[in-house]
Amino acid sequence: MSMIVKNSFFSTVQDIGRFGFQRYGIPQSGPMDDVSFRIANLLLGNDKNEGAIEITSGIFEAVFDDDRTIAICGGDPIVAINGHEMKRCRSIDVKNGDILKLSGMKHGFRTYLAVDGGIKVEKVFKSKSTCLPAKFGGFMGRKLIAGDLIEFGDGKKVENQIDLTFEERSKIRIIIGPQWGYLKNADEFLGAKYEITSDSDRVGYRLEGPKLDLSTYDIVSEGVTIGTIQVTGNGLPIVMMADHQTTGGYPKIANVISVDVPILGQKKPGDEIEFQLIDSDAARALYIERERWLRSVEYDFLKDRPKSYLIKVDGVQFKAEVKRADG
Amino acid sequence: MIIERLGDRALIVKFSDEMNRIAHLSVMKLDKFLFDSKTEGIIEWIPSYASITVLYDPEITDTSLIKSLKHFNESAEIIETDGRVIEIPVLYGGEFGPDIESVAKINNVSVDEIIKIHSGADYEVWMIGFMPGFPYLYGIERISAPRLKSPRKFVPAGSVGIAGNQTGIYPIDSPGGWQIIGRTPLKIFDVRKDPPTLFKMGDKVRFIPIDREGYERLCR
Repeated sequence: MSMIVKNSFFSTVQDIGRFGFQRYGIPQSGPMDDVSFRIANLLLGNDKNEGAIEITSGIFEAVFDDDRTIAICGGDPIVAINGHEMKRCRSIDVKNGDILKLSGMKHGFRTYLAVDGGIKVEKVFKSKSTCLPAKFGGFMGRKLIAGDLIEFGDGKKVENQIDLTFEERSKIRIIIGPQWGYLKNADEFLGAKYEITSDSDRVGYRLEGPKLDLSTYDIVSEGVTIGTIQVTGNGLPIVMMADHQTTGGYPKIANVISVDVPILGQKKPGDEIEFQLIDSDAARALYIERERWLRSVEYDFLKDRPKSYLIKVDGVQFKAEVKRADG
Repeated sequence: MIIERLGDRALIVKFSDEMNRIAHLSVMKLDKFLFDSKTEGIIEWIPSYASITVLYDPEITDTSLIKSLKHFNESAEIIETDGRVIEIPVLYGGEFGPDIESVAKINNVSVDEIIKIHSGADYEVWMIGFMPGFPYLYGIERISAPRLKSPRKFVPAGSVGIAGNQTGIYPIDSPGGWQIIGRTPLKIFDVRKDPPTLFKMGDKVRFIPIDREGYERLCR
């Protein structure tokens, strides 16, 4: 019912995140690419928000002591079981003694290892996510290291797969933030390429590029969120990511739209991005579309999905047959 | 009151661009309004000095949330706080308060006066943020000091610091740029407790100077 970590560069246990505690200064945490994370769980019939392991830069090795089904999803990692190359985004059966080895990423930066039944760790503030800044949650509040014994919950064998092409793009869409008006060289900001610096992590991405000219760099601290772009006194932007501080005192010129946060989460230091402005209605429509798509993926994976529903309208019962519209 | 968008899943309800008592009262009223109204689609909210950031699910609400927030009446009755005063024992200066002399110099007073002034008033918790359980206490004009030019890589949990007109307590070991004047042996953030923080917005905090012996006794 477990695996032993043999090698890990930077991997943490994450579920969908910690909600309801930001008023106490506790970060949201959760996956940097929440779409890949959810698909990894859905492939195994897990709750989509179940705990999984976020593996950074595709360096991870573990040996299983149990027959299990696992899934690896996110970016394009090089995956092997006992030396045989395996595909991502599909259920993989592993047996007692099997060795899972990830040896780098062909594309992207973060991939998710989900196990049927989920990762068994105690919830802290209602979440299995690791809060690295305060060292709690997840597996002992820290990243995984060789020798760690990771236990699994009770699961059941399933078989699923999905074809996902990794979306490699440098364009990150944003909507204007409360202090957009402070920015004097907006054209330069929107036309430029920014590089993700080596000073970037799960807390935030520090960007290097043209300096931004703001009327002031100091505002009263207030709540920020994932994707918020703040500009610090040196004129350079920082994008808040999963482990971001709950409040910030720098001007918030813009916010990465929700559907592009996972695209950004797959970027690594040295990658270049550019920002494109869209309006908030368009951002919201994209979010709703993506969530619908994820629900349709979930539905497709269900083996015993309902074929019909009974619906009551004004006291009269109707039977609604469900058929796929696309084939 | 103005409502601003922060991305496609959050709104900021702002009462002022400055820290002031009236705006902060409105924050506390809106906080209560949000607890009481149980508006559908709200995930959580983050109160701060002069605004509240509301996180929501855009599949459930958006324009309807803006509409319902507009119903909030700032001039509603003043909320009663329970007037809790939390006493925080602090060992000032020495190795636990490495910046106390520089804070004294900046303000042209002695170290003893810094201790007297800092522990001589009650401060209200205006915000919790920056890191888990960090209380922002406002109103130390007489002994204010800027943040360190280059932040420390390690500030121990319990350190009591000053930044501008604010004083605060580091709940966990972390990097930090506040000028550190002392340390409390109390655990102000505990993951095993719900709520995990010793303070809530609106509480009053009073610092009590203690000596080395008192500090060690409280550590036991």
